[in-house]
Amino acid sequence: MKQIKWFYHPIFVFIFSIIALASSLVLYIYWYMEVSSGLDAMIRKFNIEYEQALRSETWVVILVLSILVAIILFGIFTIFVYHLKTMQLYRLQHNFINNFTHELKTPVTSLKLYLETFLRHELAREDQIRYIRYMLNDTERLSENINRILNLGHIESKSYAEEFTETDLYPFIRIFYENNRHLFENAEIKTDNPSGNTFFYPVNTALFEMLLMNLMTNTVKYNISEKVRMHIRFEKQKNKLCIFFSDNGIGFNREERKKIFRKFYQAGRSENMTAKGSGLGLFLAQNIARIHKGKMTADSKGPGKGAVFTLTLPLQKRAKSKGTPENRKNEGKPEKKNSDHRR
Amino acid sequence: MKESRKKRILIIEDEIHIAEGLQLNLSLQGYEVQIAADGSSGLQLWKEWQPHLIVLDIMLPLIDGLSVLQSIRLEDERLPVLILSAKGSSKDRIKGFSYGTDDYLSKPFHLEEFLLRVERLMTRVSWYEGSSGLSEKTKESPCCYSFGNNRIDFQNAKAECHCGTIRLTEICRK
Repeated sequence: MKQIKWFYHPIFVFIFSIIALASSLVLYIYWYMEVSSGLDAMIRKFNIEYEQALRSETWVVILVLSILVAIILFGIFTIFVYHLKTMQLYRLQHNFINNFTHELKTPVTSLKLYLETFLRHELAREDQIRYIRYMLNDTERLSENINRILNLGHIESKSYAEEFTETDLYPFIRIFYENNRHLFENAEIKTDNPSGNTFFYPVNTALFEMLLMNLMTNTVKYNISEKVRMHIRFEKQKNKLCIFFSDNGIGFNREERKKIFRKFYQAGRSENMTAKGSGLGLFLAQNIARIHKGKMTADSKGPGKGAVFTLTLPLQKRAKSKGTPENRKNEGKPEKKNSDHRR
Repeated sequence: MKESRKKRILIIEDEIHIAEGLQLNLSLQGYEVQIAADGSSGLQLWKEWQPHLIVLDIMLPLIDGLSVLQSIRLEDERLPVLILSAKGSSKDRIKGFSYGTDDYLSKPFHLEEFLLRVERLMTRVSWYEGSSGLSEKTKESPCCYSFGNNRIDFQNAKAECHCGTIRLTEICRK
């Protein structure tokens, strides 16, 4: 059975269909010409009026046939491309289900393990506190995973709240980090705004926080350095604000620069089971950037050499569309030079 | 290497919460436990520390769990390995056993079941130690052979020659 499996392969079926169709076109034309010439000979032999027997012109028949075949060919090609895309999506979804199951099962396993340990043993108070913290982290991880799926639904169906408020992004990111620093205990995160300017921008707070959370957790998740480091730097380039998120993580190949933003795409190889995560973090981050009229790009010098994720936001468009007059007055005005180094 | 009466268990698990939870429970059961957070450090620790049992996760960074198991099985057929993985389908289990695991437990698991499985595997380790000549048999037949500058130590599965120390495979030992 395996030996004839190639016969059902979509590429073989596609090529075979095209050959069959092209052959049929050639044969139709050939037979038509044969019949026409036979008929022509008969007309001459029996002296029949030429227009009575052959009213239509040969080239019209050939043209019509060719157009029909071209339409069929286009149809086959379109179905083939859709089939390939469906297969690719199916594979990605399969990977996603496998890996997302892992992402859900891991915190549940940890929670169950510690709860059962507490039932079996009397632990010292300090140990209890330590393990309770672990459990709290696990519950946060669980809710984060669930939220990611829910948010994916919201973003894809565009059913998020259209509430954009003018926000100074540099302090916003610093406050966000301060509020969530317990999640990045072992990471050294540095924020830097060398120009000292204020950067007011209309943001959907919930979505923008999600973008930041995805980028920061990715830094920790895809990092095997002894000390996880992240540097967030603000830079104004012409009419754009660029926020660079550089890390010392596992990096990626040049070919993966765009792929990593694809839905369900995961760093690492799924076939050897080193791939982890949901494959949704950067996809969501890119979509959130687009919702804010911006874009996300990524760059890396190669595996093991860290990565730089850049969020680019247009400053001019924003000023025309939204923003309170008060905020506009402050925009671009240099304040004191901001630099914050946190552990 | 320190000699200890306690049985040694190596946990190769990248989820530090789970690894620490297992370490805590196994230590309370009287085992000596070490943790490796990825496949390559797991292999390194296995060679250096020579544990009696390995608890192995499959989805690991750098080298995945099945590749780790494959490397172990090339050199040691007897070492008990218990796979502890979130991948729990029958297909995954069959794959695990075909790579040479002794036991397979999918996450999330019952702690008591895990501890009983470990205990059972350790009982088998004691049987091996009793029957493989490490106790009785080794007293009767020599475990080391020397010829020229070469030395073969069957008990510790090592051979020393001019090119250095070579680790003996299970087939060589037989």
